[in-house]
Amino acid sequence: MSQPFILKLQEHCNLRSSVFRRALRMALAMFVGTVIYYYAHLMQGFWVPLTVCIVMQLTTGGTLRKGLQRFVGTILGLLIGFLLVEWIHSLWVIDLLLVVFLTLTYMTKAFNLVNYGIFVVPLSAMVAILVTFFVPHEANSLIVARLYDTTIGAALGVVFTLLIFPTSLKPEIEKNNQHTLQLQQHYLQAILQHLLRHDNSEALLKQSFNQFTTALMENRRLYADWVYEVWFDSERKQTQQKFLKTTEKTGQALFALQELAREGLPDDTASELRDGLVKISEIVSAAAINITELKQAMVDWQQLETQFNPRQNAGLKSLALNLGVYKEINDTSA
Amino acid sequence: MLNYLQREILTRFDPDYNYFKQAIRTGLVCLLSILVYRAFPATYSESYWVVLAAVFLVQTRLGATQWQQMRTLSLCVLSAAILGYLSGFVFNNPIYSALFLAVTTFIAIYLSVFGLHMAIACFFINLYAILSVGLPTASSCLLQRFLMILLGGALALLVCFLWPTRLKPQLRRDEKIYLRTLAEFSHALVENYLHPAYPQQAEKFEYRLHERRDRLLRMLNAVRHSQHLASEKKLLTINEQDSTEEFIVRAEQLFALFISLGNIRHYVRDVTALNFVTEELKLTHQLLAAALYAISEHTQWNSSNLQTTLTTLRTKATEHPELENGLIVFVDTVEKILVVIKCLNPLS
Repeated sequence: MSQPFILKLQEHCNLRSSVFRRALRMALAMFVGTVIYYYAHLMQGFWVPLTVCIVMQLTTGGTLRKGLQRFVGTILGLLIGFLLVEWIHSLWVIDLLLVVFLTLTYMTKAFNLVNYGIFVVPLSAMVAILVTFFVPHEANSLIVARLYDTTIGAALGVVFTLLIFPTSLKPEIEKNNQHTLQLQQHYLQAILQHLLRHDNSEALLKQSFNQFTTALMENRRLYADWVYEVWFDSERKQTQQKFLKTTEKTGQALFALQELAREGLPDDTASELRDGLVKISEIVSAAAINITELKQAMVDWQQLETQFNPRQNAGLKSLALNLGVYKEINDTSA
Repeated sequence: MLNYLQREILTRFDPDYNYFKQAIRTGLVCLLSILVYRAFPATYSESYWVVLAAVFLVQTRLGATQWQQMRTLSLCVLSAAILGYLSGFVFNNPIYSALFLAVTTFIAIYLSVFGLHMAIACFFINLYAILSVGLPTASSCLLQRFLMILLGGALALLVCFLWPTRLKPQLRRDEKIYLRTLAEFSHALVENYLHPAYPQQAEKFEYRLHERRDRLLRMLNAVRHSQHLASEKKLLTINEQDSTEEFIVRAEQLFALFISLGNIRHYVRDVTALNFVTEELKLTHQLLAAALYAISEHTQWNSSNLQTTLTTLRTKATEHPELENGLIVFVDTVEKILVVIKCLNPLS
C-alpha cells in the first residue's frame, strides 16, 4: 500500500474528522438497525439497515433532508408500483416493467442534486416490481413491509444523526459566508486590475472567477441541507437567504463586469477614469477589512457613479449599472 | 411544476447525455440478466443474484477512461462476491450479523476520504453485504451465490462496451452539451424573469435560474476536465489543442455575456417595465438559443432576424427613459454574443 494512502487514513483517524465521526455513527446505527430487524422478526427487515445506510449523511441537515425526501418519494413510488403489480399479472409484462422503471430510475438520477425524492419515486416503484418479479405470490405483503421497514430505518438514521456526534452545518456555513465575501472582493479587484491593465491580471481574473463560482455553487449546496437544520429558527433562515440573494446578485453584476474588463476601455477613456477605478479598488479592499470603512467609502462611490453615468459608451453605461447593483447589495449587507 | 418536470425529463432523452447512456446500459443489462435468470432451472436457488448483481454493480463503472472504469467495476464485482460469500458465515447469529455490517459500513464510509468515486464504489459494495445478510441461504449454496454475483458482474462489464469512453470524442461531446446547456439557459432566463408571477415570487424564479447557472458551470468544468485529460494523455494535435483552448475562452465569454443579458432584470426598478419589450426580449433569447443549437450541430444559421429585432429594441429604448440604459446594454451584449458565435461557427 502506498505511503500517501496510509497517511490519508491516519490523518482522518480521530474524532475531529467529520468522516471518522460519520463512519462511527453509521456503524453504530447499522449495528442497532440489524439487531432490531433480527429481534423484531421483521419481514424483509434488511430494508432497515439499508435505509440507514442511504439516509445518514455527513451532517444533520443533510440527513433530515434526505430522510424526508426519501420517505415521501418511497410512499409515492410504492403506491405507483403497488397499483401496477395489482393490475398486471403477466410475468413477461412485469419483466418489461422492471427494465423500463430501472432505466427511468437512472434517467432521473440527475435530479439527485436538486431533489433526491424525485429519484426515489421510480426507484421505489422499481423495487415494488422487483419484489413481484422474484416472489410474485408474496408481493403485496412484501411491499407493505418495505414501507414499514423504510420508515423504521429513516427514523433510526435521523435519531442517530441527532444524538451521536451530531455535525451541524452552522460553522461551515459561517466559514463559507466569510470566504464568499473575500472571494467576491478578490474577484472585483481582479476585474478592476484588468480594466487598469495590470500585469498578470488575465491569470488572476481567471483564477478569481473559478474560485468565486465554486463558492457560489458551494453556498447553494450547503444551504439546501442547512435549511432543514434551522426550520425552527426562521429569523436566521431569512438572514442567510438574504445573504445568498445578495451574493448571487453581486455575482451576476461581476460576471458582466468581467466581460467588459476583458474587452477593455478605449485608452483615452481608461486614462481619464483611472483615478476613479483606483478609488473603487481601494473601496473594495476596505470592504474586505472593515464594514464601517465601507460605509464611509460609499459616499465617495456616489461621486464616482456620477463620473461614469453620463457617458454614451455602452460599456461605461454597463459599468455604471453594474457598480450600482454592487453598491446596492453592499448597502443592504452592511 | 409538472411542466417543469416534463421538460426536465424530456431534455434528458438525448444520446449525448451521460445519464441517458448510463440509463440505457442499466436497462439493457437488466434485460440480459433477466434472460439469464430465466434460463436457469428452478434448482438454482441463488440465480436471482445475477439480476441483483448486474443492475446495481453496473453503477460502479467509475473513472475517466474506459480502462479505469472496467478496472473499478471488476474490483467492485469481486469485492461484492466475496462479501456475499462471507456473509454466509454470520447470518445465523444476529449479533455477528450486526457486527459484520457495522464493520463493513465503517470501512465503506472511512474510505470515502479518497474521493467521490471511492465513496460510490464502497456504497455499492456495502449494499451487497447488507443484501447478502438480509437474504440468507444454506451454506451449501454460498458458492453458487458467489458465482452468480460474478456472472451478473460479467454482464455489467459487457455493457460497458456500449458507448465506450474515449477522451477525444468525449471532449467534443462535452463542448456540444455545453452549448446546448447555454441554449437552455437562454430559454430559462427569459421564461423566468418575464414570467407574470416573477415580481411576487422572485425568490422561486431566481432559485431556478441559479440552478441552471450551476448546471452551466458544471458543464464548463466538464469541458475543462476533458481537455485537461486529453492533453495530458497527448491525444490532441497542436491544432486541436489550440481550437479547444479557443473554445474554452469563448465558452467563458459566452457564460459572462449570457449572465449579463439576464441582468436587465436588475437594471430596472420595477421589472414589469420590461412588459414594454416582452416580445422582442423573448424573440432575442429564442434566436440566440437557435444559434447555439446550430453551432453545436455545425449547421448554418442566419442572423438577419436577430438584427431586425435588435433594431426594434434600439428604437424602443429611446421611447422609454427608464429602460433606455438597460436596453442599450442588452443590445450591446447581444451584439458581442453574435461576434463570439461567428468565431465559433463560420457558417453563421
